[in-house]
Amino acid sequence: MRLRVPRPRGPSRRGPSRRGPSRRGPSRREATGGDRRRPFGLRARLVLAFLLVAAVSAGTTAALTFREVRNAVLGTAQDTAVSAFRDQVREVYFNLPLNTTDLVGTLRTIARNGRPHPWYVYAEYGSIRASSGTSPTSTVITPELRREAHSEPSGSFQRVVKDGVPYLTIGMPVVFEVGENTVMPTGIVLYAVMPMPEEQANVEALGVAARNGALPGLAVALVPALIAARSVLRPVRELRQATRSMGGGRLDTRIEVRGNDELADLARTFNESAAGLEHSVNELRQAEERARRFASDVSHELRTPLAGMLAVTEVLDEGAEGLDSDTARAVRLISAETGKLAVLVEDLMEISRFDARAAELNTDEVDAAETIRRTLEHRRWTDLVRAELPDGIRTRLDPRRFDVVVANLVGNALRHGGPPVTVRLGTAAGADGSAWLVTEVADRGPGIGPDVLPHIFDRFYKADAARTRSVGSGLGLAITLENVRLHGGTVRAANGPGGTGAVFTVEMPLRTGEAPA
Amino acid sequence: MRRRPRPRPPALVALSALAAPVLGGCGVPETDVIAAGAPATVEVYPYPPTGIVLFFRSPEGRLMPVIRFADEAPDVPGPGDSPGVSTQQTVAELFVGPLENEREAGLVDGLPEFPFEGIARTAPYRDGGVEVTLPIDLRDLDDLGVRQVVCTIAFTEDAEGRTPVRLRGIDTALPPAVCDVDADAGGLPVPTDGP
Amino acid sequence: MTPAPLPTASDPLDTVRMARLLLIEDDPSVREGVELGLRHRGHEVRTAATGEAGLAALREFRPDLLLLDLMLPGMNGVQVCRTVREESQLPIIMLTARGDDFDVVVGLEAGADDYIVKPARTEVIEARIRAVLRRFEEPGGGRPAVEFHGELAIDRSGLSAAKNGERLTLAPSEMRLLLHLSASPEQVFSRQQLLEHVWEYSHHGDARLVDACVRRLRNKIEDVPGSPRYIQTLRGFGYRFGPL
Repeated sequence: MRLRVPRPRGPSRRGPSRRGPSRRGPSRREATGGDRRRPFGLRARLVLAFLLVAAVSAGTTAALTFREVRNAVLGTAQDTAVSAFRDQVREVYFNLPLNTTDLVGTLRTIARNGRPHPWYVYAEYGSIRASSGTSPTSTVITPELRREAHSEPSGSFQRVVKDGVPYLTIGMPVVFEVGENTVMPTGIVLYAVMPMPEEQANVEALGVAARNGALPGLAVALVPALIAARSVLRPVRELRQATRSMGGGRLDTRIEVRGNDELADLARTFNESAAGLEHSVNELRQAEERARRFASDVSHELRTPLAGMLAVTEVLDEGAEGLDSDTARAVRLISAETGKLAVLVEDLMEISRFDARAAELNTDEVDAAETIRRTLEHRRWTDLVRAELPDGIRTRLDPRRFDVVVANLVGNALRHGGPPVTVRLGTAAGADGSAWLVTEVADRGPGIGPDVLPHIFDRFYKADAARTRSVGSGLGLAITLENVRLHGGTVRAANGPGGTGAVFTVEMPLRTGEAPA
Repeated sequence: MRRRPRPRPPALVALSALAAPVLGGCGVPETDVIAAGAPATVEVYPYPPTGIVLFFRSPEGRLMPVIRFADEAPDVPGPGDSPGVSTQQTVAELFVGPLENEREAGLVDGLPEFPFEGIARTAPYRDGGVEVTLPIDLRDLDDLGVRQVVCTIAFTEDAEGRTPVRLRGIDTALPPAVCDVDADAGGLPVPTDGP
Repeated sequence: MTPAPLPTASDPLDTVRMARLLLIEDDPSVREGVELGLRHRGHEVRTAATGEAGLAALREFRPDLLLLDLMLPGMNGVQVCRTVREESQLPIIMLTARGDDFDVVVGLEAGADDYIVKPARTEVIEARIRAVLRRFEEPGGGRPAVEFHGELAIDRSGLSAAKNGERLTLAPSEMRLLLHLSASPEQVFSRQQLLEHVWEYSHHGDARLVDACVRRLRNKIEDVPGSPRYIQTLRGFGYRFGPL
């Protein structure tokens, strides 16, 4: 026997919603959903924007300050060096033309007095190249500086970075006085090359300090950013929770309106909408309640006269034998219809109980096959129905309601389907590993029309307009559905493969070993 | 309303613009050549008024002053018409060329040969200048050579070298020029039109 | 309930002779209809419209069985039921118009032996009456008339029970349940089995009949009803008598 596995969303979804009006309280989904953080949500964007502004301002300030201070540090060093170099050179006598030996001595004298740091001094005169060091020419001095020193009657300097070490190179043309206010180039150009490790260290320390100053600024900016984000997000979050709460059925949900900003307006609008919605829903509920109560009251009121009538149908039936034929027919008609009316009212009462959620489940642990067998035997259907009922399936169910379910389905198949009618019992495992009791009632009739299928469990739905009310109240399948749902199960109707009749499948959770009622 | 997520160029640009000065400019940057005040003025020896000033040229073609003691000067024939050393003598020494120690410094005269019997004749020019006649073709002098000669004569005529000089050669005469050491862009005396 | 239960298999009418039935029912049409139907089946029926009138008729009429509507003006059916149970083992069947669960439970707790949901056909009502009135059949012939189980003495032929020599007042359904369970000590009976044998429901009966009856019985025979010795519950299976 093949049995279909229940859809995973069957009873677990429906079960609770059918059991009483207690659909309030935050669900699990809500709890987890509320804490979800989006990567680029409002909070992230607000904080990012804040941080960006803070970073730009802090960074710009730091950068500008850094540059100014750096330039000041370097400028001081440079000015000191240039003027010191000039002063040093001024102290010196030159023999023109120069000779190399004298020149080297002179250069060494100048080099010793380097300020703020020792420097190397190079000289060019004619074809003479001399220095205070070992190499007569420098690799640091650029052609540009040399050109400048040779072509302009003024001192000049250039910072050069070579192998990661910054150098200050100074070019100094040497002139001599030839009269008052008149000078003449000697043709000598002196260069000083001064490494600047200390300045470099200072500047780097300055950079680190600027950065370190800017970073706490960013961290501090995070606080107002979070506060601002929170002030925006809290109403948004409240609104979301309120909306979800409304969706969950709590129509009395309202939001506290704070302040007078746009979000407050939104909250106010939400509250007004919620109030309107609650009012409408309450009216609908009241109307529904009135309708339900009316149906219930009507059937209640019908029961009392029916009780008297039904008790005397037997008297009528037997007494009819002695009457003339027309009267006898009338009496029998009344008797028969009274019985049907009683069934109809009884079914209406049952439906009313389901609607009022007053139906209770009185479960007992039973052998499922035995229960179905009793149902068939009791209605003397054993010979009409083929039963495939494996023994040993014990489950907890309400025997009376299960009897109604099976009786309604089998009765329906016998009336509207074609023989043979088969009742199958089995178990199946759900998607989550739960065990299910599966009951199938199949017939070999014409099946159910596709336009009828969606409504087959509707109340008073007549599949065939010509089909009279003669058998059944029109509530049988609706009651079946409610009874199955009460068990936390599902029932569905389908046509068998190849148009071989209708198949009704009832799936109910297979429960064992629970406490008796 | 739903928009596709996209990268944010503005934010990235802003961030990188921010990062550049902070992260990139940490060390000591290089600079262009920056002018830094006056040249170094030194005392030279011998002191120019006590010697004669000759202008040779360096290997790179720059005017190079040389100061010699007057008694060091080689004996050059000619009447001395100025106190100290005469213009004839300095011009003659100039054309003789650099001495040994001066050649060691790479100095050359770059001037044409002076005729052995030749002499520079000096005559006052109008407006206080001086006209010097050289026994050479002035065409043989390049521009630098003209300046060497003009400046040497000017600094012989007066200590500050402001005397206008008009050169006359065998072939032609040049307009008067001054050896203006301060005004010239190269710091070098060039012949200019005299007043 | 759909589909309406059919009458039990046609027992011969003389299994229970014509019974004397008292019907307490306030609605005249129901009262008259039920009276008519039952009288038609040969029973002697007395009716009363209120609980007070019914209690008065009880002493005078001495019925075999009381059919009691739960919804009565003045003294209601549950109160009547309690009053009767205080002094009598008279079989009581409730008539309930509602089938509402609370009413049924309250009525059963008050001591009713069975209940019928109105409207009901006369044959259904009579089947219930017969089931309640049927003499308890002795399962084994060779058993002693009086059995002793602990402090409990059960007289199967005299249909009475005593605890510590003190006679117990048991309603018919309680007596029948006790007799059935004690006839097979330590054997577990499911509630459906008990409904079938004690209440004679060939069909699915209401398990609350059993539970309510067990509770009432325990209150009368157990030392501590909360931890019973005689009528024990086997979770998931049913009830059994003992072991002591």
